[in-house]
Amino acid sequence: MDLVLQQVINGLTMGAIYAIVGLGYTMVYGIIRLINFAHGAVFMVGAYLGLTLLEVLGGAHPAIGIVPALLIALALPAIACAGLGFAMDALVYRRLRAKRAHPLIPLIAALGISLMLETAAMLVWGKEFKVYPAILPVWHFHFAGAVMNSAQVMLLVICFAMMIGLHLFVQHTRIGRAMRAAALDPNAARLVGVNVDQIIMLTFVIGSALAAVAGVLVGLYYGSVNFRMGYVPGLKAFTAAVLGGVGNIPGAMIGGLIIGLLETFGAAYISGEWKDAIAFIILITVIVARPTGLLGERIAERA
Amino acid sequence: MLLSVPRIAGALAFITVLAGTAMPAARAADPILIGFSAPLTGDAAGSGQESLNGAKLAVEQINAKGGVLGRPLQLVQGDDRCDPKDAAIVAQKFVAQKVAAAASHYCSGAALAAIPIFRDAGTLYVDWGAVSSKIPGSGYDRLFITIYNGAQPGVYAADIAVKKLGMKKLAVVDDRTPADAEFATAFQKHAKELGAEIVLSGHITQGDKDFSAFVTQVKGSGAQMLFTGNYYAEAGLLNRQLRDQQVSAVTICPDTCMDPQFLAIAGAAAEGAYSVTQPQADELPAAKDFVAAYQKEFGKPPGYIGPYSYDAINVIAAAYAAVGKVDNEAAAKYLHGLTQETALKGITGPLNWKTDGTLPSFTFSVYQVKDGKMQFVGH
Repeated sequence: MDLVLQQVINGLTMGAIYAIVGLGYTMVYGIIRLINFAHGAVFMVGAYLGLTLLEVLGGAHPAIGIVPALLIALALPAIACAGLGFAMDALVYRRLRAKRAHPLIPLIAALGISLMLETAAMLVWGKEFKVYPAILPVWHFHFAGAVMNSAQVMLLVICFAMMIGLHLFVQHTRIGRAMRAAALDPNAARLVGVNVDQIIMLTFVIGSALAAVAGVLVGLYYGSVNFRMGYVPGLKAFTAAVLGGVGNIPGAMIGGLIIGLLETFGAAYISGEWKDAIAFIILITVIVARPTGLLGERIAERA
Repeated sequence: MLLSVPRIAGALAFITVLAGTAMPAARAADPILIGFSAPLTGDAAGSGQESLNGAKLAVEQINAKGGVLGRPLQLVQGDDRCDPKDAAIVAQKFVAQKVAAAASHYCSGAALAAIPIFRDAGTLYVDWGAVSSKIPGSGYDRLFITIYNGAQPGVYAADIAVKKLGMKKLAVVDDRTPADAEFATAFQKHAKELGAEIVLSGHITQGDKDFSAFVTQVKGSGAQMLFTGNYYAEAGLLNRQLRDQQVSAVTICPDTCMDPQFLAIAGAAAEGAYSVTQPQADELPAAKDFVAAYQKEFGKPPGYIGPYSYDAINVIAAAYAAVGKVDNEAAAKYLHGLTQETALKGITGPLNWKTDGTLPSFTFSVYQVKDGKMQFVGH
């Protein structure tokens, strides 16, 4: 049935976004056990920054050409949001860690940051939907009865590239090894010479950069952005991280894709209004039945 | 901008009028408060802001002529975000601030949440935008609606689809909010009566952005036309995603698609979409001065909902002026007592009401997106 293939593509598209944003949640939680609720807002800020950059560069017909404009619109928001992630850690979370605050405190701070970013975005860019310039040429790709358009292809290619890139980085580089060590046991990592504070800062930076790129891709694909756009996807991305096992990077990726697919098939074969409910039923079921998630949480072994 | 040239000119004109006619200036000490609740942020913010502008213009014009019974009108704004929970909070705020009347609500869910609160306080409630038939169904005797009510747009849309355009296979989607659900049900019922086939009926959630699963179903169903009972954000995204998946079905929408944000969000994908709506300001013969004044003050045309909120304010002002006091029981009795002959002359047409607070009759206009703009195609 060609419709099933189309629904699979639909599910993978949203799933890739949940996966990318979920990576930010899972990396941060893996090391400092903090659910960074502000992450969804970073995704939204990235989308708006991409919009502003594209508008400045000339909208649908940029003077410097489409590909350079797109590269700038993807790279600069990533850098800016990396800075935002750095600021969140340096100004708020690290200080709370230094004070040995009760774990609830950074959680509340994260909620506060998320509200602050949403309101700031509303004040800067306005309350209404803002529309991305139609910069991508409209190409449709047909195969086996399913259709994809150029924005969708770009989204999937870039998201999968980022996921593979991050996985290789974490598995095969020194810094990646340091990150895994810090996630496994921060104290032991310190003992072997890992600067855990710097690693934590790096996870915020990487996670936020990824979320920003995801935001721009969503803006290009769906066409419009709104200051509330990070809220529900942020929660679903967190669900993806939990589903895969918090702290587990491949887990977040797989979790995201699964949630995207389940949502889409639920919408198609049960009812469209059940989409959000399905994602959150999954969250509750996983937390109750298998809290370590599908691929298992990296739990430190305490002596 | 606070000090733009039109504003300065307007202020000078206002002062001149006051000095020239030597009418008693409205006492700033004792304003008549009117609660204005609309979606000022969120998915329907474009329409909410437009309606607020219409009301502001009416208040300014009335105050420039000395206000009502020597007192100025003052809007108390509330943002209901098209959400019943927020609407209830806003209504309670209005009652706590002792508003005399409420000119409110674009979304029917919001209106239904506010009615019990207004009823307890005895507030005079003039509804300029929320159209579910459950609103007059509440039986509140101080409710008056300046716009159409009920399922008619759905029925009209079915007539267009089957009788005028000859469509045989139809699909329907709505967001389960009171008004949209009513339109969708009426569309289905009437379309079946006319002999067409409803090949797909689905629901989406307000606030969602991804409808690709439903769009794929539309593709598989072979529908020729899709009735989208949605607010402009979802309708725009639906149209866009239909074209993304290269589905050929044409869409038809209630008046929510008249908001310019619909065209912005859908982009080129909106081409050919239909909308069944209350008459636009440029179709209303009595509205020419209003259109000019609105354009002058806000720098853009009044859109599809501004005239109705403008009339709502004027209804409140006229009622209080006619009974000589700010008394809601007397005002409601006066408004109910109007007949076709004694109707108030609103810019949207004659205003008199049936016992349930709805207008006795209403004609709709049909628009279609051609060359990126909504064009009038008939009645």
